[in-house]
Amino acid sequence: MRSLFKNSKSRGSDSGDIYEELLLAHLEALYAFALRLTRNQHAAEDLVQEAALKALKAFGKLREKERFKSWIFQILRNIFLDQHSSRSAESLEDLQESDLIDGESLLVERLLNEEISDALDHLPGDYRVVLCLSDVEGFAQKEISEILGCPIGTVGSRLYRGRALLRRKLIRLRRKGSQEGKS
Amino acid sequence: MNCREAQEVLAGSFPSAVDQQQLQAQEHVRGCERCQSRLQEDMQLRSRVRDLAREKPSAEFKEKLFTEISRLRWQKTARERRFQFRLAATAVITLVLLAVGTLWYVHRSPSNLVDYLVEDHQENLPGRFMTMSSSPADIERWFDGKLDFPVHVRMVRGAELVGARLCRVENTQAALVFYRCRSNLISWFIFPQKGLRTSSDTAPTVSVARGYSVIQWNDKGLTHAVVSELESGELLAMLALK
Repeated sequence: MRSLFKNSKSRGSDSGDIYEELLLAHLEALYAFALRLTRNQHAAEDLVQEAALKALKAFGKLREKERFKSWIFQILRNIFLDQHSSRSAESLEDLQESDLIDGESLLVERLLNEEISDALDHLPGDYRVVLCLSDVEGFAQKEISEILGCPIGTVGSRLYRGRALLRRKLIRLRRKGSQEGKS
Repeated sequence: MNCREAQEVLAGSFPSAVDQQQLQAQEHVRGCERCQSRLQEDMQLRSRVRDLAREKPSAEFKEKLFTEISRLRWQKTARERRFQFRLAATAVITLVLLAVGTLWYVHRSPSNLVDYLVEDHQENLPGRFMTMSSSPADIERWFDGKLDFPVHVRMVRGAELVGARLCRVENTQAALVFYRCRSNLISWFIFPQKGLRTSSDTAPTVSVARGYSVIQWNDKGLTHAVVSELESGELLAMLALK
């Protein structure tokens, strides 16, 4: 990959070199986010490539280079939304009061990574995106609100409800597992 | 404040929540074992989510992506270079055109000057002379102090000195001396050579415009131009330039 950089450095501008360095630094996170959005390797690759090429064209307009990560995440997310706007949005599962405040223990330590990952992948899109940006990528709520173009209160609300949904999915999974174990 | 409200405030659902609400939520959690255990478990779950192994992009994909980026950058650079080349070419063409135009303006044929002189000659009527004298010395005295260059009035063989006046040749002050030969008027223009679109030759050049003979030559930084309806050969002989 570095050899590619060298080739491009010899003929590109300094701005292009900086872009490639920044992209490389955040490529894994960008790809993981795309994968969470699309839940498909090829679709994620296409999404990352489209976002990366679009970002390259617009890179000159990005004044604060330290905002690169949230900026390119925003581009990727917008492309994803454009591509999926015609498809019906995933219906948000209604949360019940009991889901939000139930006292049933999740026994987090007994959960398998695959179970958590699978439950995360099956959250409705809006919640999945906010949870990934916050809990996986470590973006602050303000940054997430910029990436998603929604009020910061909406981000907080989606985070709270998304975590509650994730918890419910995992509890159901655990119940199902224990029932299967009994039978 | 109930469990749900407390948990929502602490989760940041209400960024505008005032400190008092935060304090109330914290106070509720301190006294509520269910909330404590729930928040503890949420933190554990968040930690597990954060630690989930990320699927990394394949090396093939990375290579394909950066190859595509390199190609795009190359195209962009080539486009920029093409634009710069066009810009430079336009600038060079403009400069060349300007230079050619300037050279043409400076060195263009003095035919326009000839026309100008002939026109001036045509408009000369005896009544417009500023000074009337047949004495070269008198006329030279009259010019003295009026022009930035000395005027040496010569005699023209076979012609009679009539008078003189000041005139302008292409915005340059000039001396105009008149002679008469038979019924023909001869106008002798004298003006500084520098800055005017005149021939640089010191040898006399003869041209004809609108039926008038025009003879021009340069001498000691001054251009002399003689205009008359007389035939150019005769005029050259009269001026002793043959």
